[in-house]
Amino acid sequence: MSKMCERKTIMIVDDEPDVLLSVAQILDANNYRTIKARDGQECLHKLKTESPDILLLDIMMPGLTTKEILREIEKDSRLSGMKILFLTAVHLQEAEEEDLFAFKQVVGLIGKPFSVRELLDSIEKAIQR
Amino acid sequence: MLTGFLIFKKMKPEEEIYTRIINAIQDIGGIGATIEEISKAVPLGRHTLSKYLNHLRADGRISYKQIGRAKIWFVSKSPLQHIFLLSEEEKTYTEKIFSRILSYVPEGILILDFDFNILFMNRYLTALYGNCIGQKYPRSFFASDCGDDPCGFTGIVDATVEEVECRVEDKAGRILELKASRVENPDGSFSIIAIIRDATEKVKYEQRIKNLSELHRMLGEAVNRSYTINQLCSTILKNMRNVLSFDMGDILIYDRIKDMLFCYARIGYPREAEASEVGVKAEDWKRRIAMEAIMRRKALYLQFYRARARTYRVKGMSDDNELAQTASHLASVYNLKEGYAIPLTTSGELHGALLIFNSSGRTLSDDDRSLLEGVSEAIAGGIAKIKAEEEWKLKASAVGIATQPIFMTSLEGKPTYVNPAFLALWGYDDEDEVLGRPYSEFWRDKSEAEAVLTAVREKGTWEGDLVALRRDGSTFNARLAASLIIGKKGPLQLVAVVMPETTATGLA
Repeated sequence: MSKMCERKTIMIVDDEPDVLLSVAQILDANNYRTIKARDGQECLHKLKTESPDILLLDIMMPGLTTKEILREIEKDSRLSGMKILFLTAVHLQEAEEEDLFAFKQVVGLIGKPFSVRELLDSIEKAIQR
Repeated sequence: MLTGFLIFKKMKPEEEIYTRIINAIQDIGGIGATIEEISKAVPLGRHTLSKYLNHLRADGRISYKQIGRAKIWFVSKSPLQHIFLLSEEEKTYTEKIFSRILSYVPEGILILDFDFNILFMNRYLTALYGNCIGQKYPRSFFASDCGDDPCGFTGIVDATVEEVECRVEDKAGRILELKASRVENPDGSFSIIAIIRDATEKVKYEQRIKNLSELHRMLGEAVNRSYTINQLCSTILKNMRNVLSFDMGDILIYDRIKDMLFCYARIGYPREAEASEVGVKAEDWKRRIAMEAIMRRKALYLQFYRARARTYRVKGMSDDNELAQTASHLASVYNLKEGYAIPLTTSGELHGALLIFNSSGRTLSDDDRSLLEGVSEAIAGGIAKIKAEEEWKLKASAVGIATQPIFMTSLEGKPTYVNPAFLALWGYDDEDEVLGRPYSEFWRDKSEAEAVLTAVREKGTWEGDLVALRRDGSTFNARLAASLIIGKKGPLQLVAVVMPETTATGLA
């Protein structure tokens, strides 16, 4: 019930339509409000009018790089409370990970393949941070 | 059309006059002909004849020598050569432009007579071979006998081929690309004109690309066919040696737990040296060199030279340097001329190092070295893949020996994996009896089981109680925790862990 009162918004950014749809469907079913974006450009465009609580961001997408997206987000003070969780199918190296985690809003990383249990737990943890 | 016809009608008598003039000069002989002598065979006014002579000269078909106040006319044997032999003042405007173009073209122009004597070569060729005019081309360019024909020009002489196009190696090891054809001279003879380009760099580049793609192909095959890292490393090293022809090499793999490098493959080391006491020490020295390259995060190239008998030094390194001492020890064991250590990393993650050594006269070219660096990431990627597979096999073994039943199904609900604990609890002997059957068959209430599947697909997880149905028809209460697995491209399958309750509910 408490979740119903404070329904959190999650923006999912992934270039794989099946991942985008299934994750959104699952999060909707678990009482989250979802916004979908297929790439960094669409993500930034939607962030002009939306302020999600969590951004689930796929790391390897065509177009803008993850760093470029993060830099743009950092510039917008309205989004300073938004927490970012990465989704990735590739193993990030220490240096790359350090680089991405240098952005204050980044709170975690979920490696693909992942179970929905892991996803929900990670989101819950991110919200509580 | 009409204009063309008029020109043809107008040009024809001029062409007849030109032919008569050339014939007259040839008839007079090799010493050349004055305008007076020519006018006897071609009875035209002096000014008209002079005009035709100058037309022919501008056309390159005849030339003259100034002797005193008289001009002695000759038929040009090689018009192109003639242009270059004239002084700037003697050249017509067209000849000046043409000679400049030919001199500075970035390709070689060679004109030979039918005995393969060089009549003309431009600056491009002179820069490569010096001035060889008058010499035979096989000797000047290929240091072979005068009777040889490395480029196959005989076909042009025999008129069996119109054109020759070939790639040949010259006396200096340069690769020449050559295109030659027959050219008709004004006196009716023929010359051979060849366009030559030094393609050494191009050929090297092509070879490098070929080697690189060959190495990548072999690497891909090795990764697909190898089950262990040892197998993969041995295959990679063998393939690389076939392509690059080095003497000795090693692949060392980094063990994260022990924080050490271990040799997984080596090739080419003389057995006696390897087995000796010093050979054992050499393994440590190799590790030290590999570690240096890893710490520097870039390839390390060492060149050795013999200072005294059995004593080696490293070029450009002081004797006090610890790495130089280690490398010198190693060089003295295997009489090394050069060594190359390349870290094997994938986007910063360390997997090990590749060592290449040469003791014979052969050395790694810059291209070879850049090629090695180019494939090093692919090698590291292959190693990472096999490592990950080994890791997954270990994890799969852990699931296999778990005492709790675990199963996976496709999104349609057909089991794709069950662990031995599942088989034991449900009373099956073999997984083949279970895999591919509808998942609902393993539960007493099929519709309830289907509802669980729907819930997992929609919500991603489900946790609750179900009554399981054994093979013998008996049932037991179980708590099921299921989750959907999402892969790179979307939902993959469903994984569930079963926690059986201790009290069985008896036969259904």
